[in-house]
Amino acid sequence: MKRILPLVLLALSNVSFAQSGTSVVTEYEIKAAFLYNFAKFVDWPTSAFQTDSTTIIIGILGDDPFGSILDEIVADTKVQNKRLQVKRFKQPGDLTFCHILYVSKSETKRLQWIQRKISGASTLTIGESSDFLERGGMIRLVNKRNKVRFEINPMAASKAGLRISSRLLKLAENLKNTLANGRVPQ
Amino acid sequence: MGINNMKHMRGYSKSSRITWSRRDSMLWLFCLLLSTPTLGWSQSRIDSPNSKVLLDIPIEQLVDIEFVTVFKKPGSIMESPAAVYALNNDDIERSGVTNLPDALRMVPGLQVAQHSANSWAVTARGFSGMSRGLSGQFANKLLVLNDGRSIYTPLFSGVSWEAQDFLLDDTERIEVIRGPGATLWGANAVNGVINILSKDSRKTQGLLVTAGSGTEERAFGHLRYGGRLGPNTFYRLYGKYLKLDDLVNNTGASNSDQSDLVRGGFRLDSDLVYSRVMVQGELYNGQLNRSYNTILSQNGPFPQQFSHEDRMRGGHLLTRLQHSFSNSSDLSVQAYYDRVETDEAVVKGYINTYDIEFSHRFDFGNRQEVIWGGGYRVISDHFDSTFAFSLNPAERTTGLANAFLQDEIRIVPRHVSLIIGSKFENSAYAGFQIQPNARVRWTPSPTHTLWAATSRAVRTPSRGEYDARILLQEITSRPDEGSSFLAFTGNDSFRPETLLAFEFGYRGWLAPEFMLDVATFYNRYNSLRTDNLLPLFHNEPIANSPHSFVALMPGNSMEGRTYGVEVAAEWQVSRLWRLRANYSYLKINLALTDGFDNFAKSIAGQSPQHQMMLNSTLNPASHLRTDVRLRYVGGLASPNLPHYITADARVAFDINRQVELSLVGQNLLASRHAESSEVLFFNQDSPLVSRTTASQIQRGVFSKLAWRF
Repeated sequence: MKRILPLVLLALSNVSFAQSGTSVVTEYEIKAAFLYNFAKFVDWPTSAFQTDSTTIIIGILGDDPFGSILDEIVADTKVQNKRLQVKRFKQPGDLTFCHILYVSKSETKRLQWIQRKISGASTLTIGESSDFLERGGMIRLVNKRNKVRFEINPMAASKAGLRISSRLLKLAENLKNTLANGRVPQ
Repeated sequence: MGINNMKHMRGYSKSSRITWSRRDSMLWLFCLLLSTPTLGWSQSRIDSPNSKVLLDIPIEQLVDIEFVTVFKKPGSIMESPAAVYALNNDDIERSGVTNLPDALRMVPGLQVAQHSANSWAVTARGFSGMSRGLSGQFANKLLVLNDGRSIYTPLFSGVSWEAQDFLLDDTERIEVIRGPGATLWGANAVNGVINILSKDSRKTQGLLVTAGSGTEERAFGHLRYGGRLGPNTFYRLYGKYLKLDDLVNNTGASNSDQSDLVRGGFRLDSDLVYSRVMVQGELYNGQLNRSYNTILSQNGPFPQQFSHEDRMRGGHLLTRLQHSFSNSSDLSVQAYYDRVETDEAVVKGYINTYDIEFSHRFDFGNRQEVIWGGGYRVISDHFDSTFAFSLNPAERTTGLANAFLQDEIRIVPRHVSLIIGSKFENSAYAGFQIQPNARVRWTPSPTHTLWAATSRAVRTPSRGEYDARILLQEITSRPDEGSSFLAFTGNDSFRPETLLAFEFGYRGWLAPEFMLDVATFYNRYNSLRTDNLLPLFHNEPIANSPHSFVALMPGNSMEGRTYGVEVAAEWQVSRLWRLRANYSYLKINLALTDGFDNFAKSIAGQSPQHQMMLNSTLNPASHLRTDVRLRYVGGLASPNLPHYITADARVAFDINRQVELSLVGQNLLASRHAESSEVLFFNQDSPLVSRTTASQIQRGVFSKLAWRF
């Protein structure tokens, strides 16, 4: 018994758990693909590319749920003829300009503080907490029965000088009714 | 006498007798080390074709792709069908506490009594163990786990709080479950389980330096560095030093209970999407001064008053592997090695613990979730024999096997669930034990939960209760022939204590800003320990000395009924201000079923009937945080201690983005107060014999500076 147990432990640890291949996707792989798509379907004012017209910067503020997934997805990819770069910030005080900023749940309490830090900058803010849009966030990612959906606050986006493509607006969970009624959100 | 005398091991067949050799230890260590995957061949997602493929999928289809949930997220406490309370890192930090027992004072239903500058008695729902001399500070019905590793000492069925110096900044959460937690945590989780969880290394990156000083917390410092070894692997290294001042005894003189404690360790986490690995290790070394009033050497006097620098050191290595097979099945395997060495005035020895366990969770059909698992633990110890304390045999190795099964059945999905389960254990001291448990949860709406539970739990006899001989008191003094002593003498016919518990509770939001949590319980204990003189005044000689002893043996002649209620309320008064209040009521009735033990029933008087706490958390300005906490603890009947009210306060200020300064005041309302005193043996009217004299808790202030890089 005393000999078997350590070997069982060893065996368990060395078994390779083969993945089943392309049919299995995780939550944050899909969300990373969404960030890529948001970059595709949002127009920034020209002032956003004054310092560097070749790069779209995606920032992650706070706890990073993506890990290496986001870096792999954006590597060697171009959106609107620009390459994508990922930056990470631990605290709002560390923030530098990003075209897209993912605000982790751990930082949402300080969203107003963050907004003040980036006000005037054309940053598309993305978050997941339930009050994200009410607090001034622009796109909220939400899980609906193991599928990733999103909600958009179009007023917050246009205030920052961003134009969101109707292709995105049509898919937003909270805007479906308004668009169906023919009212286009400002 | 001797290692091969195994007749004390009830329920333990000869063929599975264990002898441990050095080679076996090496094999274990080798396998433990190998079981952590080498970082070179980690399951990196770089080679997976999935990620890039997603970019080609049009967004209209992306919204319809179903993802795999890896590692079921633990259910929220709000819906838990048990008396659970959690202190998160923020709660702990803002309270200004610097040790675990003080943090636990904030949990409703827990009783914490500080005995000296470096010892505490902590229990839930009674039986604080504030008595029984040598094992005085051990409350034996509470299981305490540190990241899944038990820190319950098998020698006296209790926890050495003094050896658990607290890494506040690296603590994620402390979960406290009052009531039997037997199914998932096993024997000795009779009155509750305390689960201390440390932060994932991913959350402790960068350099953190904290240092502080005060009147009672003389000096403390903590250094931690966290880094990254690859895209998915994070680690941290840390070191901590604590120096505590002495407290005073009831005459106001120093009780010589100052202490020094150093510890250092690491934690490593690797998150590979479908697997997670964690490895942690730590070493510690401490000097704790104690003021003794106890029997020491055969030359007398009996008892002797003296001060001794007790030493405690040890360490552990733990590894945990979790793997998700699919979104409805995951496995967790954990193994650890722990060593404690103690060199005290009367007790000197070491304990090695080797533990391996696993649990597997899977969905069964549409409405059931099953968790099953098992484990094996080997405890191997050695204690030197001294005049006042000895174990027979001096060395022992025992094995404990356990298995458990739990099924959650969603009778009405999202509304009514039934959870039934049981733990099965086989050990040398308690034989085969079954601990079943059934719970019902009703969630009429997302904001309210009602639950009820009934469980059976068992408190296994400890090595001390089986094998120890502890001299307690001199009975007759014959200067020429040697004295006669009363001695606690362990006995292998001492049976496990059992509990049948009935609990009921409510947890919910009565208004958007007001939460209420109420738990009530009724516990029936049987076979509670009593210490009996049998046979009366039969003197046995004490080897190598002219003295003799009369045995006081543990028996199971008491039963108990306890009941009470624990209330916790939280009110978010405004965006900046939160108030919390706790109240608990406890009533203990004990009755002897046979025999004579004047002392056992006084255990009922060792727990306060009422306890209350009011806690205010206020952020008056953007970089300023204030907390004030008021506590009332009812008086004790035996020992005779009055109630006390005390206040703690903390002010914290962010000097800049990286530095925080805080000032903490503790026990502010009185210059000192008593929370415990040693309890009498045998005869309530005779002068007491105590191992260590209790200190009074003094008012103290300290300041702390924390830098984060």
